[in-house]
Amino acid sequence: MKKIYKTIKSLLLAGLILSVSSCSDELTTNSSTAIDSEILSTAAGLNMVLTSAYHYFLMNGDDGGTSQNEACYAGIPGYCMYYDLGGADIVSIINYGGSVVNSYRFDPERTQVGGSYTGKIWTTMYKTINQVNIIMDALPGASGDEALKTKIKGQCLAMRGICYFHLIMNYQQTYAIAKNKRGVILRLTSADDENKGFSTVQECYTQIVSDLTNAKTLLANYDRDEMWRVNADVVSGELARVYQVMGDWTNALTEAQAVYQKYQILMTKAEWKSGFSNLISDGCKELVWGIKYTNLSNISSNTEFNYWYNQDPSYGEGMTDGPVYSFINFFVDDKYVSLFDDSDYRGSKVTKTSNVTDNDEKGSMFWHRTNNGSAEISTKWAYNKFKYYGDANGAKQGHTYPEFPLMRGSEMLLIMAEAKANLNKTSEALTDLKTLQTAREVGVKTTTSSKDELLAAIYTERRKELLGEGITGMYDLLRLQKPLYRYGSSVGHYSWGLSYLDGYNASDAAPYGWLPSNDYRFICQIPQMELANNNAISESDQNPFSGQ
Amino acid sequence: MKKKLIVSARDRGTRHKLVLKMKLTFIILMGCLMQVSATVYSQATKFSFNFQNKQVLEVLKEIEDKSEFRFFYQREQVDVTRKIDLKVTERNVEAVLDELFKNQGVSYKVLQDNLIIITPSTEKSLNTGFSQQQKSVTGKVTDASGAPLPGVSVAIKGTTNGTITDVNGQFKINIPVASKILQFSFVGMRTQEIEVSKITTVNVVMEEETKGIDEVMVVAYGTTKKSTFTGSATVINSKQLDKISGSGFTEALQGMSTGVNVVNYEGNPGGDTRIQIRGISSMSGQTTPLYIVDGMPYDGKLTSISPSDIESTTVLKDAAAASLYGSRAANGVVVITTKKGKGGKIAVNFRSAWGTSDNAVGNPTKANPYEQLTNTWRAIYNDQYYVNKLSSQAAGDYASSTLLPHMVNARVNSKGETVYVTPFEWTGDASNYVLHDGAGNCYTNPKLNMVWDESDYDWYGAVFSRKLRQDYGIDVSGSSANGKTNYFTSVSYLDDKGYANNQYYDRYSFRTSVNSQVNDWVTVGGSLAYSYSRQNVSGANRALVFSNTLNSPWLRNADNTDWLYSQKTGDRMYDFGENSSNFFGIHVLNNGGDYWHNPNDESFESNEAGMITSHYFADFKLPYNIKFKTAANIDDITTNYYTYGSAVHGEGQMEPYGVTVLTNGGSASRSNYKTISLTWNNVLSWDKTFGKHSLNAMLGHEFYSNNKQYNYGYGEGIMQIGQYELASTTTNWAVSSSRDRYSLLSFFGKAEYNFMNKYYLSASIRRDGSSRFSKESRWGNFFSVGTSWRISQEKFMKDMGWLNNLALRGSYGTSGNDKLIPRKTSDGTSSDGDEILYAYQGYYDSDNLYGSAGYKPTTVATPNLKWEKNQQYNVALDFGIFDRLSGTLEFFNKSAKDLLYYRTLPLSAQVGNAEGVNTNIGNVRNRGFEITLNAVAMRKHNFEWDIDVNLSTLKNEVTYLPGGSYVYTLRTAGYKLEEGHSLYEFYMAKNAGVNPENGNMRYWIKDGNGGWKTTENYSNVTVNDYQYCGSAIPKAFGSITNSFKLNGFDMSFMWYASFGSKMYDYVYKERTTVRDGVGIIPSLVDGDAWMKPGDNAKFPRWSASSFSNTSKASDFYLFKNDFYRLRNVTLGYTLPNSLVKKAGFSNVRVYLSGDNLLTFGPAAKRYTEPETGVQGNNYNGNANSDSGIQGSRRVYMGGIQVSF
Repeated sequence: MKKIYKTIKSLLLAGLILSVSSCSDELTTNSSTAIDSEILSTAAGLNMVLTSAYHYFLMNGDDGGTSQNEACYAGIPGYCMYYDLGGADIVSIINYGGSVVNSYRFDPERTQVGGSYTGKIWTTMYKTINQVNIIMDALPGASGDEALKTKIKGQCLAMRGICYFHLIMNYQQTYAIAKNKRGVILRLTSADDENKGFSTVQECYTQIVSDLTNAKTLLANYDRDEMWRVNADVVSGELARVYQVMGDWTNALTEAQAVYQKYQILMTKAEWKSGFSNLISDGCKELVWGIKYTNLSNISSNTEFNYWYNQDPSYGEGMTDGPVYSFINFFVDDKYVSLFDDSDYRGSKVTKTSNVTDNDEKGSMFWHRTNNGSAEISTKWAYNKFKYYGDANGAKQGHTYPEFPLMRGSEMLLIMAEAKANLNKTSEALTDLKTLQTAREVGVKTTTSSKDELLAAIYTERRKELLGEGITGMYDLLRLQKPLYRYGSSVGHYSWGLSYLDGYNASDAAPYGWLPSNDYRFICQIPQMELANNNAISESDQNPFSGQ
Repeated sequence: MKKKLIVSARDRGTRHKLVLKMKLTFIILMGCLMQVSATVYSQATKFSFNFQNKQVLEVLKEIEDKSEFRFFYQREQVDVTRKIDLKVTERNVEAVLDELFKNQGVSYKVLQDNLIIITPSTEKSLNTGFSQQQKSVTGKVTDASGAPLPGVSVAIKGTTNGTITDVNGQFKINIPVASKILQFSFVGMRTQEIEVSKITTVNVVMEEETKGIDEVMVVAYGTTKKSTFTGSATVINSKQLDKISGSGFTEALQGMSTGVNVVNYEGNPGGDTRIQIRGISSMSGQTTPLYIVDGMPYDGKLTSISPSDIESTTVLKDAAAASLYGSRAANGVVVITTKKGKGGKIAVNFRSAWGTSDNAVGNPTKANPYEQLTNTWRAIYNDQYYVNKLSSQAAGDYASSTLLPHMVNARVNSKGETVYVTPFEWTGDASNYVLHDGAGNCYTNPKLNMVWDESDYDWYGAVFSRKLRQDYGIDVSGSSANGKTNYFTSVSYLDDKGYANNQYYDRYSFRTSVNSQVNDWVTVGGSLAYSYSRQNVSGANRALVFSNTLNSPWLRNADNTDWLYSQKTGDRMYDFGENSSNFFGIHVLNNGGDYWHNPNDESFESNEAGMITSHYFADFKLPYNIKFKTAANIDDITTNYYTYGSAVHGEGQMEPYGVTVLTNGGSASRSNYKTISLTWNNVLSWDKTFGKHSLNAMLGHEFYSNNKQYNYGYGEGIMQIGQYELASTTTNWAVSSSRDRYSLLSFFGKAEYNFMNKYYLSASIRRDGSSRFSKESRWGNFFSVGTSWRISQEKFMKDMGWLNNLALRGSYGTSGNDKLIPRKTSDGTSSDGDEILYAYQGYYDSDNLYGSAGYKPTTVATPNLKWEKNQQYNVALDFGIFDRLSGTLEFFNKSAKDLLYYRTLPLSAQVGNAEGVNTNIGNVRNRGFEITLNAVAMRKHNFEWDIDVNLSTLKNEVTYLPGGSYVYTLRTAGYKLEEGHSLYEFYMAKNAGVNPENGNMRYWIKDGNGGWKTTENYSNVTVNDYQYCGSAIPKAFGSITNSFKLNGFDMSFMWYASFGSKMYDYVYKERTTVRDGVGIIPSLVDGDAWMKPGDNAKFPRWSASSFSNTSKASDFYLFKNDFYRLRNVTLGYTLPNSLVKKAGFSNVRVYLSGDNLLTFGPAAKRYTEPETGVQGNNYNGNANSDSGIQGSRRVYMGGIQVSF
């Protein structure tokens, strides 16, 4: 008996001691892949957080490539598609649904509070803003090279300014009429309470100008290594856009000029006609800011290139027939094609209505998909500006790794012209406009002394030069407080591009649809999950769904 | 010694583990020392009784009640149930006892402190101990059929002395003459007690254990008798489980227990099952219970355990049952006991079964090529005539001329003509396939010449076919000659080829367990199980909806003269959108390859899972009835996923087909998951019976550590045919890996008290430390109390002979949860895989750009995060009457508080992946009634009929949601999360039917004056117009099982039903909407679609250009989802014993079984599988995510079971 007791007791004791002593420490576990906030203590670490912020800013993080619902919202390049789809020039078929078709149609779920789309721009921009705020708050206490810290801070401020610019354009009417209206929520430090109220539009613009101006100073000596990074030139260009929206023409002119001086060698005819998919690689001199999709930063088939219906006729008419997987959605309206005169190489077109071949199409910007069996499709205009042959040199179904312009010297030139015209320097403005028209071999160049006519010509030139780059379409309609008009025809808009607009009557001989200027249908409602979770705001802050 | 310490040593049956000798010696020694003063009280205390027909037992109790005397005796030795008449007046205790035991051969002795020992008078002197006379008893034990039963334990009641029966069922045992009762016990058989005081031979017929109050059940850290159990649990034995031909045992649990809702939402072989015990108590909606296998937490795949290795499954439902597993018991606990050696002769069981399967709800038939043409024509015509206001002639011409491109791509044939390849011979003119009369009536061109076979465009036929399902198993069990060591080994093989495409599930499993009683006080044992499976998940997908009969899954040449074949295999090539103008992006026969065998170089998605469970324990019997058990377990689980994107088949495939590599080549990925989970527990237990009082206590400690490793590799550019490894990839590599650990340290204790087998009390406590919380808040305490009252044991119930059992049970307790799984506010979904392991820590995850290291914030540090608590009470009434009907009525209320919740930040405050904050917030309540009835409907000569019924109700309600309500959308279905409603409540626009004038669907919207009006313009419908439309959670579910036995035949059938839920039928939405590429189902739509003004139609006017306007989200696609399913039918025949014996077998049974043979309910009428994911949405199958592959299958099996 005694022996048993002894054995047992020692076993028990050993067991309990072992278990208790060995286990307590075992209750602390850590991730093997994530790191803690130590990363914020060095400039090098903060630079890595900045890299991630760019990922959101340019591609909406990993979400940008997830589905076609994200295509219009895949960061800044996605918005380029989004703004222009809200204009009159692009025509989209409904081949593949998702955000591009929604954006084109002005489908209510694009902006209405219940849907998921209204929070897309909001979320990407605020995630970028909050991330750069964390960086900027940590910078003063972080160890590391001051020059590096300055560069980081400059880029952070620049990104924050650009993000607020996109937010304020999409969630409230334009500056000119809405200065005192509710703006967006200004989050300027990471210590801000999660519940925070709105600032006015004026306050937002003040912040945007301040952020960009400070960024410009901090980035004065920043020599970027990649074209996707925001340097002082990009900041100046963005400032020019901001002032342009605000109607501050003096400053717009100054900033645009500063950029144009460095990027004034405009694209040649050959460059233009070779397409916009390789501007960085080809060393395009007027490219101020651009992004390159590579196999390391891929948003898959969610680039704008994958939505244009412009693969060569020899490939066939299917989504999977072409050099890249294409959703084959976008054409342009006939009214857009007719803006160009015959010598303008940007408007060179194939007028054949049957048997268009690769040879016909390759030398031109506009052509008809005459081999498509669908009469509806074969009459529309394909547009070759954004065309891409994949990474396999045109072999079927290569990868989509194109390059995309985010800012060009041409735009700066047009801002200069617009600013000068508004400052009543019409002849100088005309000179700037002609500089571009000459470069594009426009036959009949603008010759007017009327300020209004000149401005109209500049606005038109913007459409001709910049369509698809996110600074025409809805972008111009909003800042210029113009209505949107679309016309239905076999070479124009489909009924679904008109049906959510006003005035549409299918039985009209020439059906059309329009949205009044400043209509809230251009603009997103404040997303539901912001209203639900932010105690500092309420339903009364909400935009109407429609109306002026 | 105080009165309360001296307890009548009433027998407590098998739980009575006292060592008689020690006990008596102790008492006698004490007694001798103190005998002197005893007589004073015994002489002075007088009794007056007048009893008629009373048991001796009751007389003794009366004496105890009226005095300080306490009696001590062995029930085997003293017959206290004998009834007597007794009349005494003012007599002392000795006189009363003399009267009571007159001529009974019993003597008594009054000891110190009024303890009276009653012993048989054969034991002349207590001081000489027990020099027992022995006698020999022999006999034979057989089963009901007369077959000898080897290995039956034969023991002297109340002792551990005994033997087992031999091969011929015979035994011989020497027993003390005083011993009166022998106990015969055998697993699965009812224990029998035979009086042997006057006989020396016995023949015993063992009967199978029926469910009853004496059933032994496996519970948390041990076993208990059902009668003493105060909690709520259901035991499902192997016989019930074996009937269902599932890949895993969870499938078979459906309908087996109240409160346990099992949904087989993945019908593919090896598919997952969702199990929900008493509702949903976490915000994430995840309801995965804790699985315990042989006492150890189980982390492997549920399908890794061969169902045939399972002896029984106990579902612990309430707090009293589950809270001993405290930390992880919030979703209930499923305790699995694997088969063990039963002792005795070597027993060999062999079983094999063969069968096949198809879909439980039949596939519909798509519109045929003619209907497809006219349907599409109609949709185009409608747009032109009703919307664009063309004349009917012009609209018809337009429809005819633009028809084909809506379904088919233009191609160029060998003559250079642009043609359309359809099932019909090319007519030379795309606009004459459908003709019309100019008045809006269309018909297909009678000259169309069909050149394809029906099977060429039968999409369902391409995907589905009945294939072989086979299942084999053999197990061998037995024990060593002395019965001290017993063993069990099994091997089994399942090969289920499923119904769709190239799916299959193959599993090999092995299990061995050995237990050995080393000596009187040490038993050690262990088991080792290995399971290996291969699975191919190719199945049906949404591409099947996105197909129509003008196309074929296979690629046709442009001349429409032949199919295009692979140069390598001669198989037909698939059409990846070359001919079909609406290629879905995924081919219906997607992933038709297989990692292990891929002759046609097709893409595949295969996986293999391996699991080794090693288990070891040692059991020590210590003095003072103390037992100590220590056990360790290691689960080593690996799962490898293999994917391959074909290098030769796919979009952009080129001639010569089958041998030309695609531009980008093929791609491959590998994901390897390895989990090692370690559990070590130590349990001290103590059993003691003091007369009427029984006490049982337990103390334990457990350590659990879970280590997960993950590796991932991906590459593209496989340029060789027949190569599927990463080594062959040339570009775009992606790699990843991670290692995670989770650990728990726990201390727990339990006490159970039983008074007179009438009143039971139990209490438990557990303290858990979890690595998921910070040091400051990682410890959580959980407890439970339970009580039950066996009313039928009360005196006043004794006379009711018809009442077999009546008991009232109640429990209250807490359990916890430390798992934090975020629920997406965008669509309400969550996944076990998204669990946040380091919830309290603030982290940055890597987020690279252009190959440069980047880091994004992932979590916000929340050191205060603590355990989530579930409070549950349970009351139940158990009854049994007329030996015929027994059952349980039960009510539970489960409130989950401080829910671990990923509280979403305002969108503008989100950063990186840190979209919310981990917190304890929100309450959810689940409550319901549960009814179980077991009836013996008939017992006639050779005929038995049993009926088992169970029914459960559930009301799930969010009772506190501080973040506020919100609306979200999942695959167009709208939901709202709000206090006062269930977790999954549909909240959508309501439709107001089709306007007969123009065929537009109408919706109800608010009119601004507190009323409602209709609109045909869906853009007028806003969130403000949405209304609650019902919950996705069933209100009630249950089953009825009828079992029959007639001679050698057995038959059973089980109906399962679920009521009160709603489902959003996304598949129906797509099957009834005319849309380019989609072939609708005529039988769902015919006669109900709007065709012309004045039609009172169900479906709106078809449209080609605005198909989405004809299928907007509304309650139109929301249906009541009551369903009834013939879950199982089994018909068996056991061959006559006389016959099988000659062949050397002990038992041979052949059977046929069918699962899910019939399905009734509104869903089945729509060709829709009624079992859905928790959110009641069947997008792309039946899960909430895209992983739902196909619905439940009908499985038909025939088999044979042989024992020898």
